[in-house]
Amino acid sequence: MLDGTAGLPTLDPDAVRALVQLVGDDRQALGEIVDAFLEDAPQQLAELRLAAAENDDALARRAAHTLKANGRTFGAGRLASLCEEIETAARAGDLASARGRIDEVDEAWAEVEDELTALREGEWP
Amino acid sequence: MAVSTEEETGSILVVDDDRVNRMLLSSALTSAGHDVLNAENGRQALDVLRTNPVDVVLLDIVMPELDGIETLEQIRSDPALREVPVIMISALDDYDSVVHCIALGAEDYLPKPFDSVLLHARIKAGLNKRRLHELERSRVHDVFARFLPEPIVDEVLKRHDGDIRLGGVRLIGTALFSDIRGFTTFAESTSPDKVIEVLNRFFGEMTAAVLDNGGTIVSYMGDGMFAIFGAPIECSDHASQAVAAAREMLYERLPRFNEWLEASGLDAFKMGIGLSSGPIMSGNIGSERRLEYTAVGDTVNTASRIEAHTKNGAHTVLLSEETRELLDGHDELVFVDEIKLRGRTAPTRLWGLATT
Repeated sequence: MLDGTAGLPTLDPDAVRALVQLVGDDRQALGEIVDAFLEDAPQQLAELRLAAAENDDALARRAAHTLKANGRTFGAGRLASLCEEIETAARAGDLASARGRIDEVDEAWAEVEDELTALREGEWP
Repeated sequence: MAVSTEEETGSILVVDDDRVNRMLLSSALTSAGHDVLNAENGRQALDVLRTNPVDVVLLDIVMPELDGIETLEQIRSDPALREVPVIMISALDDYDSVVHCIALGAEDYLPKPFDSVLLHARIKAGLNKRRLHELERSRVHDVFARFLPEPIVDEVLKRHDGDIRLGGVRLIGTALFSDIRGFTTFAESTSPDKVIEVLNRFFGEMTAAVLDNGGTIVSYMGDGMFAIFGAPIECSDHASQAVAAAREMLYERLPRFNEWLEASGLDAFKMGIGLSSGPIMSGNIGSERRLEYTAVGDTVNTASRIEAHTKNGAHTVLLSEETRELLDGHDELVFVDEIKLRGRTAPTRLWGLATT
């Protein structure tokens, strides 16, 4: 299968700059928001795995939806795009067709996590 | 909330199950000077709305417990909440849900990921809408306060959520009619300016006596006045309130008014007051262009005819048996007469207020 998500950015600097602007350049608030994403995303990934194992479309849809939205917020194009595919499949009641994408979501998250951690250490664009 | 179109900050409720989104919106709104309240789902949001003043709601669509669409429906069907502007939060790929929410009465929507300029523009528009509604409500309040006592205005506005069209209601209440004796002769021999000045002074005093005792002014008719007690909001002691108002009119307001008249070189006035209690239908009548609050029914007709009867005897205040039966015994009454009123088969027993 051709991977349409390969060229997408891990974190888009423009999206991160927009976030800085959104919170009025409050670095402390930004740090807390990044921490929340770092804490919550692994839970959503675990829910995705559980949903896939139990064929739970509703759970997969909700977890993928949140992960997609937060991915977009930080400009994590690949993560968001993979989650969107899973959400769409789950909404159509066809989670099985997107099961293979879940491993890729793990990979994409690992990259995002590294960059978020760097942001957390003060490397804001 | 302070009613002002100048203020640009307000109290914003952010409803989203996603912690990252809540934190982002809270930070963005707090840094712009707004007060921010948070809820994780629709149920929590409704709890917050019912216990806190909120100017604008930012509402996510996909949520556990109670989702954004169901929450919006509940907000719009609750008279106490339905005027709060609601802005839906949604990803652009959920466009159908957004359209559905706008049809249900959402003000607008804010696409995810959030754009700073768009967020603040939407919030500003929501706050303006909220403030216009508050201004309208305060205008309606002022209009109503001219003929309703303040606590009743608040109650009416609460029940009708600021809607000026009072629905028709049938309540047990007391009707009061008053009239100035010999006013026509006075008016014919006095300049129009003076007549209006005297009338305004007189009605100023008498209106205050009615409103202070919990009554509602229905209308002024020439030198006559029609007020009701126990409507549009029911109360159990309407008869006592009406008698207290009649006493105040007669023993406090009229003497003060007459002093002023005599100081202006005019003769003192006498007046008559008629009271009757029973079912009263009240509500707004008229057309889109002119609405008037009115009260009708046999009780109203009886009170009017009883007032006319005060011309025939020594008693300035007359009341019907029905009113007497509702009084708690504090007012000393004397039996005056049993009369046959037009439109009534049974005779009406009239009672007079013993002078104190």
